[in-house]
Amino acid sequence: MSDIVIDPTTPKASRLQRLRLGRGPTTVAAIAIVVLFALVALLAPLIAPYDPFAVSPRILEGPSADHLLGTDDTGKDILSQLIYGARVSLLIGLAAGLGSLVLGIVVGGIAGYVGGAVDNVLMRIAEIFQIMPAMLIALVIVAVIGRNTTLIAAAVIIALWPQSARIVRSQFLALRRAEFVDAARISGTPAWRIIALEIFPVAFAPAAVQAALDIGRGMLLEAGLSFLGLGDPSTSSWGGVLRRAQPFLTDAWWFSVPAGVCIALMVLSFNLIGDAMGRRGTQGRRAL
Amino acid sequence: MRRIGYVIPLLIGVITFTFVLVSLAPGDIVTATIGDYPASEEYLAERRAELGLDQPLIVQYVNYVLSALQGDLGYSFANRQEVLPLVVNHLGATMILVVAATVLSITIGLPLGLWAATTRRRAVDNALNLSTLVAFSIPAFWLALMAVLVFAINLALLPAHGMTTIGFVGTPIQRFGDLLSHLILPAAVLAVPETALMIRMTRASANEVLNSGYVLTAVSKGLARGRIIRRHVVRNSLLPVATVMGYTFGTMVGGSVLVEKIFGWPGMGSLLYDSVQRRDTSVVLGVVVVVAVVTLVVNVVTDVVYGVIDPKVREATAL
Repeated sequence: MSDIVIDPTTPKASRLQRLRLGRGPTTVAAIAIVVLFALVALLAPLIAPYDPFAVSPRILEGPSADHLLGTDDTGKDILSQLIYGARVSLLIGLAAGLGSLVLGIVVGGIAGYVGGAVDNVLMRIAEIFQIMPAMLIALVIVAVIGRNTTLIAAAVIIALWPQSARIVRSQFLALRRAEFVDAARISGTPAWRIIALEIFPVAFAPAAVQAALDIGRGMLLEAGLSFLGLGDPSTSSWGGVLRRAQPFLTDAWWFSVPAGVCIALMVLSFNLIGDAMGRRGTQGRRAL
Repeated sequence: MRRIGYVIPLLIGVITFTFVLVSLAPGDIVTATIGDYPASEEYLAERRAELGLDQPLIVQYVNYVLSALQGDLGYSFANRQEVLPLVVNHLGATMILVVAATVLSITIGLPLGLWAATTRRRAVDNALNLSTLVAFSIPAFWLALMAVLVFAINLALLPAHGMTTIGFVGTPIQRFGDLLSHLILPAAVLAVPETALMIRMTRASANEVLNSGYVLTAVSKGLARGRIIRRHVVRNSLLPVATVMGYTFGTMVGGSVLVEKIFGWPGMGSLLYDSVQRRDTSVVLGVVVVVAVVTLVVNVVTDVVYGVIDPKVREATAL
């Protein structure tokens, strides 16, 4: 009987790899915009000057002190609609980012860690959802089953998850054979511990980058669905505003321009954040 | 032959997806695919018997898949026509749009991507990077609306609607010019995110080449910088970009739903939009299946072409 005890703590991959962001001015601006929109969404009932659904006889009026961004074709205040629209956009966007992140980690993790036939089947399923354009997937789900916020969120997740599953899978595939994982396995660490403490923390960073981008993609899909008339009719969304603005393009710029700018700014901010997260460590030395 | 074994399961997967959707829709398959169209009770009963709705779900599923694989995608009540020929009729217009947008995105995206990768000025690289992110972030349908507003309405430079001028007569060349003028705006809008993707792909691919051993060798040999870029970097970095073509085809068809709707372009996107508004579900599902088939074909073709033009891949698959 030997009294040598093998220390089960193996070289740790790291704690959760820190998602350091570049400190560029664009990244700071992006974060500020996201925070601003999030505050607007949270405080919508307090800051919106009007009920976004309240019609009035003052139709298609330009910006004024009463209506900072004018009114639409039924006299509803556009600024209030945009303020409430931030809620829809953020809700669907965050659901898309989180949902596809979780689904991607589960499916990609299983595929990458188990490998073999399981990997093959799961990746084929992911491929099925990649040969159909995301917009088309989200559109048919909502068009065939029904139009409500929960379903729209689910549809967007179903349309977007394969990308993050692929990313997580390739991480797991590579890390499964990494030295520090071998070391953990040899020292008898149970599989769940290896997955949770050795592989996951490393694989998480690229998945999180994808999640940030998916928030933006989710917002664009939601805006597109609402524009096509497939939004939740009980909410006021930016895409919905643009749908109603289409016949009045020449008459009322305040109807169509601000809503589009809101969508673009919001999506751009998440794309900038994702890009800043992803750029870390990619600027190596090169010969030329 | 090997590729058939790859394509068929994916196609069955797509058809399964549409079957699941219809099963989850309110009502049964027959009422769901008929949508709001008035159909007699006898017809409904006949369809139900035909589809074997009294049979177990699994039998229904197998029948559904088999008939879809044989090209039976159902019947459109709005158009009083079988779905497959209806969708295929609209495929041409969409293809014109998508091909034009692809050509645009390649001619603009490749040089810019190479520039971003090879420039020594970080500001250029950063500016291009920021532009691509902006291009990804602007909703295509809003961009389309703004393009209509600026170029078609305010400046009155280009037509905003349709594929040809109604009642236009002229020589074939004039007719082609007419088509082209209608094509510019929708194709340009559709090309915006694709160009951004092309820039990013080319930049990443060229960066990889720049880090490769043979470029280091060329540098050590004392070759001029411009010569290395022209002879080694450009060629080798373009090949991987070609592989994304199949994938971008799909995303462009997705984007064209919105863009076609705004520009009144008579393609699959417009058909899809109209069918959604009329709750003509069989056409909506038919478009999904046809788009998947075309995407798969494009994927297989790019795969084969890639193998032909890249000796490295050719060798690898031969082994």
